[in-house]
Amino acid sequence: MPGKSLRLNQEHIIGFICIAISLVILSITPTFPKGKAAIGLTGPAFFPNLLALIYIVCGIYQLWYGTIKATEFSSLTFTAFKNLFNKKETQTAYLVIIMMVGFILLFDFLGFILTTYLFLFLFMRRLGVSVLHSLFYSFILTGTIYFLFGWLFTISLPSGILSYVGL
Amino acid sequence: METILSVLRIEILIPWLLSMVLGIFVGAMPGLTATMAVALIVPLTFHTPPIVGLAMILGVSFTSIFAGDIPATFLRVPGTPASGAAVLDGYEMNKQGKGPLAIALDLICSTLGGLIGVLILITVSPVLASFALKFTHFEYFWLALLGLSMSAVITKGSTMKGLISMVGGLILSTIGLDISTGYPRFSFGSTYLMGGINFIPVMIGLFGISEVLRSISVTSLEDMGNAAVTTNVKADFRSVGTVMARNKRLILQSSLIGTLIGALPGAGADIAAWVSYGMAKKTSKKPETFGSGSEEGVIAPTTANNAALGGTWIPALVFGIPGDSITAIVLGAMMMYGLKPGPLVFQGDRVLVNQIFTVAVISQFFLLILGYLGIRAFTWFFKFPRNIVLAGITIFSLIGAYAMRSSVFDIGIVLVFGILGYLMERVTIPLPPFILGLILGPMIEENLRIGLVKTSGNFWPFFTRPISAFFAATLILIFLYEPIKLLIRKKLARRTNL
Repeated sequence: MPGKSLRLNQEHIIGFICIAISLVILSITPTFPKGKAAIGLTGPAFFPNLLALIYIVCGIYQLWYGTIKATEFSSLTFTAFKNLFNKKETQTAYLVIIMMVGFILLFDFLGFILTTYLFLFLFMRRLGVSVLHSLFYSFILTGTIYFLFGWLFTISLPSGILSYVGL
Repeated sequence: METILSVLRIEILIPWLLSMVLGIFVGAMPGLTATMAVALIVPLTFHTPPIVGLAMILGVSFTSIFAGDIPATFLRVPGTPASGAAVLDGYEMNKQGKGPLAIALDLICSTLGGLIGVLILITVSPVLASFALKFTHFEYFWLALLGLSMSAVITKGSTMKGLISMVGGLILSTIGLDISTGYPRFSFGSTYLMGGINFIPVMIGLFGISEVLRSISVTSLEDMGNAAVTTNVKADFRSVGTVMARNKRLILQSSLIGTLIGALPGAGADIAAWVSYGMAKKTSKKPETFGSGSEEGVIAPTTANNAALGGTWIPALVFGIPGDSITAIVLGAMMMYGLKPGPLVFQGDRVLVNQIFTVAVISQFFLLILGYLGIRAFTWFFKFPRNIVLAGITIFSLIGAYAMRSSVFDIGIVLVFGILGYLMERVTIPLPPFILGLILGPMIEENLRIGLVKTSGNFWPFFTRPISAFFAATLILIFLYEPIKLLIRKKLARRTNL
């Protein structure tokens, strides 16, 4: 059909994800204990199953919608996919995500002060803040958060390896 | 007059005002909720006379609910869950350079909403509380569905994507121990997942971290050094009067909705804000402007969430039933003071009850002054370059999530939902219905299932009880409102043409 493309687009992807989530739910819920229908006691699977069925309908609609309105959405070609990773700003966003993963992994081990300072310094450097400013603002922010959360609100923040030096 | 003078003594005034300042700080900080602010203040009140403690609690709750709107308007990060709805139009207004007007509207409408809520608390509290007491699981089921239906109203663009987002939130709410059997659902043996997914880290991730990622991915490194908010970050009160005069009916409507929802146990300021926003859109002459910087979209939630605070005190004071998590803490504190919340409080401690009412009214005037100073304080913060502000928001969001339960797992939740929110926005799936589904999911499931047990699996009583029937009819009307309106318009147009 001229002007119409049946290639994969974002609406299709959303549809597939909805159906996949529903199938995962429907494959897990049979292991849940059963309810007692005679007294109206629904089991733990009742509500998730109901939602999974709604999600399947949503998914099918998205697949249908993505197909009939195919011309309105750009197809997911290899070039489009590659462009997602090529843009410098997008790369920075991915790097920030990796930094956050590192923050989570090191938080308990290095402790609040070291992890926060290191995270903020690297974050600011990546976003173009000068070395001196990064060092200074990381110190100020770490100190402010420590004062507010640790001291004022008495929330226990992990000391990590600094606990060995008595901090 | 005697009561007013009795609460304006220096030994009450100083801790009361200091608590209100703390409320602004905590409320404006993403991850720290109004409940947390109250919880932080309560231990300090145990050694004070009851009225001092109650003044501190009332003050901190009013300022923290308002302060949540400051980062919601200027940074798209709601300070408290009750400011979730304020993000939609407040931030859009800010993008259009009307942030100062939006925050001024927030402050004045919060004060007005709070004042109306408190006046209703004083005058009609026994009537409203007895009405809410008649609710059973059937009514609560419909009430939660009514709240959920608002997500369809507030969704911009594709309704199906709004539904996908909402059901996603509902699915997420099923993780954890089953309410009836205690069976761990979708927890895969993890003790963290057994406790369920807390909506606060999810909300911080969806609205806060996703905005940081979006901002980084669309801003060049050269622009990163510019000020975080280029628009005028201050309160602009010049045109507030005109805007409010145009929307006086909406202010009254939102105050009433807020108070009524606040008075229903379990439904707090956050639900009040969403329902009020949805109703405002439904009744607006320009519903298409909602989500694009509508003044009505700012007024409705901010008025309702502060009005709800007055409402939550109605069942708490009259019947000893908490209206929300804040009043649950308050009830505990009152018992520590040796007071017994309930009808007897109105007889035995009449003086104290009058003092509480007076403090609640005066707190609204203090909110005006302290709220204004709070906005000024944040003006200074927003003048920093974008890259430093983004670093600050990120770390406050991460540590704010950790502070809830001292759990690194919650930081992980923030990251996961930050990425999810970023991806959802890229494919134009709206975020607010997701949060609404997550908040209301347990309420819907619990009331539906317990209701079914009561009726041995029969759905009919969900429709036949008077209040249930009223809610069900309202829900149907909400969905039929648009088609009926279109039909009437078409008929009128046809008649005019004839």
